[in-house]
Amino acid sequence: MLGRSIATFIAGLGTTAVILATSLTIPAQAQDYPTRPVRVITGYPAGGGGDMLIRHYATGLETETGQRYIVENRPGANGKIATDAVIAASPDGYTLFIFGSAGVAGNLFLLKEPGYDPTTDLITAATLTASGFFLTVGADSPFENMKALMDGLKSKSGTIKYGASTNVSIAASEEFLRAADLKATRVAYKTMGDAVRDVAAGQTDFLIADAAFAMAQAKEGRLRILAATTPERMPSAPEVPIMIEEGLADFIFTPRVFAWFPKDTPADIVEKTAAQLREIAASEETAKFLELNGAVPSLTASSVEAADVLKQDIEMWKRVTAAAGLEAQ
Amino acid sequence: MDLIANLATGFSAALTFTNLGLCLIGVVLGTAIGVLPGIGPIATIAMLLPLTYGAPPLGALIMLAGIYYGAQYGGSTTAILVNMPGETASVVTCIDGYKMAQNGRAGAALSIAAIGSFVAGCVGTLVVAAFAPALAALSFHFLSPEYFSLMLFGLVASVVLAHGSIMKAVAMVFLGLLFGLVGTDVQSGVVRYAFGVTQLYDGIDFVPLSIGLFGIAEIMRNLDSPTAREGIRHRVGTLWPTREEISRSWPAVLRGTGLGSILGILPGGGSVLGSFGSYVLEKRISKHPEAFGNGAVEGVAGPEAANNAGAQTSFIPLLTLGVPSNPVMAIMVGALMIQGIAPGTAVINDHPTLFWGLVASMWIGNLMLVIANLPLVGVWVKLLQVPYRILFPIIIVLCCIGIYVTQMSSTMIVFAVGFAVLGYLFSKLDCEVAPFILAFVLGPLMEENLRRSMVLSDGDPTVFLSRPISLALILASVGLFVLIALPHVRSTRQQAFQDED
Repeated sequence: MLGRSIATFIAGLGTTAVILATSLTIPAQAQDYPTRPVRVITGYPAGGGGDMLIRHYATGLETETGQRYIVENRPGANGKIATDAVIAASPDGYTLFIFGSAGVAGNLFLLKEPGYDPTTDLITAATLTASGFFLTVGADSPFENMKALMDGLKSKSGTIKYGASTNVSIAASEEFLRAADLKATRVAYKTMGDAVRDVAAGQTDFLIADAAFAMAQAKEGRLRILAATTPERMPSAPEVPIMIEEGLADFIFTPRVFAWFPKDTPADIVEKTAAQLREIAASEETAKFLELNGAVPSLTASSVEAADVLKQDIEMWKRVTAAAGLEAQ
Repeated sequence: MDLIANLATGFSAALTFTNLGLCLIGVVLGTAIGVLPGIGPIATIAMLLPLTYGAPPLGALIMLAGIYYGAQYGGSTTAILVNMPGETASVVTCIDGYKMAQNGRAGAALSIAAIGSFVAGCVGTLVVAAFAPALAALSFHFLSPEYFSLMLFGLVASVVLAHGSIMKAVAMVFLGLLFGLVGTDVQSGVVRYAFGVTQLYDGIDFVPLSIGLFGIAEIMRNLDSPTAREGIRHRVGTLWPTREEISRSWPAVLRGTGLGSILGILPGGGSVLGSFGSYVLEKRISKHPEAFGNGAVEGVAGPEAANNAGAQTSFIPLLTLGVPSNPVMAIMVGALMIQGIAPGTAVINDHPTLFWGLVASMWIGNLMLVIANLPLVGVWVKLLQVPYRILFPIIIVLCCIGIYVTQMSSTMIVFAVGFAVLGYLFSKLDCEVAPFILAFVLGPLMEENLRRSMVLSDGDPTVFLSRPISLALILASVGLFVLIALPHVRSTRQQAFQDED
């Protein structure tokens, strides 16, 4: 086992050497691209839910092309480390970046000197998935539905408090507060487990959690799910009403995962991969895989449309970081 | 009756050929990486995680769990023979275990550590099986104020444990807290002390820090002083403990098991606190406290039992609440997610075979360890008897690979070198690393819980005193601090450590 992992490691080194060597020669031709392994950089750490997603798409591309797609996890600094690595990579089509816009777009406002502009330093190939989030309260909470919760929060005497463990959950909560015209104090957590514990104990008033996690916690009687942030009811939880049905007219929050190439990557290579990714995203297999993980495929017709979606995400992050009072660092 | 039926389900699941094989691979691999200083279970499990993609969920978990508790065994072997902790939880085993080795009792120390670990492992497994559902309730009483007070207690305890001057120990605690401050503040998102280095935005990574401070610094120290280098060449001697050693060990094993089981359940530093706590306890209640630091067998038996019991019971918060109690358990969460299982209390109900199969495999794995390890001690010794001039470059290379793969970043190796220099300085200045590392781990958690308690209580500091568990822990910390500050106790403590030097 150890031998195999060492072998993988050495193979990785070998691949890197090959990539370095061949990048100096002739540019790749789209019709036979890819002729050697492609590395897929992501900011998600190995082993988490995000990593599984990346590997699902990497495996899909391997089936499509017959080449290896090697996932390289570069976690840290909310994805900045991975983003920097992609921007610095040679634009020969052999570096693909699959990651959430929460990192790539969010960092533009969370960091004083992000050092990049995703609309020019990266080429958006495709949108892949959109994740659903659930607004939850503790299982013992008196609030049975969204209306009761919002009335309760509006007449609450003390400060309203919400728990959040990631920038994405902060963004979701701030978007909700804006739509519901409420003000609240954020209570920060390092793990969702702790955030669930406190909302279940009545220490905080509500918690917005990703759908798969919230459903597991609700099943075991710790949380009560009140509404989904998706534009339509989620296939995995058809009984949960969406925010729009609950009177929050324009409230949709579905953070997306994108595929990008470094700028100057030949357009035909980008378009070839983008088409393959769209095909994988639209497959039934992907829908099934995503349902387990509380997400839905995010389908765009072209890389141009995907780039527009990225612009919307950038606007959204600008808005929520300001609303949450998060100062650029 | 339920318990027996459940365990029967578990054993039938764990006793398949594949699962037994994966369990064996896990424990042997775990022992090997535990023996070799510098690569801990965290790095190994993280490295091997991709290999479990293809395995069935139970088999994957059995193997990863085997690596974790196997490393607890292996870690003690290195601690005793080379005075290097294979991983953090065996730091205290170095103190008396290595002294025993110098006294020619290495074999006895190894046996006692192995048997103590086995007993603790069995009891820990039973605790998981019997109390996992019930004990989940204990953690519910622990909210932010309780966690803060618990961490405070842990830090005060680490000062009691430290060798030498109290001032130095306190200084090391504060230094550890300062290093723990680096990175993004959870509550406000402010980045502190990162100096624009993106690799520091999430704080100083634990892997390069611990490998640098413990692994590489130790190698530097060994190369520096030729006398210390003979560490590896101590005769192992007979594996049989004397009657006196046995009679002194078994109560310590039982106490260590009890303490380790309880502390392992609590999220945050569980197994480390267990071995440290057990050492303090043994020293406190011993009739011969002066023997501690001089090769007291209780100082090996208690902490070894405690860290293994803690390793088992730290699965309880993971499997019952989905809350990882330490970095290894956090990786286990990843392993569960890879298999499409959302961690939480639903695991016991929805995947009974998985839960009980894992519990049963822990018992089987512990049995394998004790059967395989005592005869294999010779092999591990051989591994450590390789001449140092050959061994240390290998260790350094393995360390570097381990550090590199955790983040795929060479910056981490640079950090490790920096910490190695720091660790070398600490040892030159007679400053102990244990309080530093404990403060580094506990500090950020403590701050997080302190700040969160204050936000939740709308800024009312009495929240720490109005909750009974928190109050008890604060009083215990104050009591402990007063105790070490008293002139009488202080002189006894200094006496005890002086004998050792």
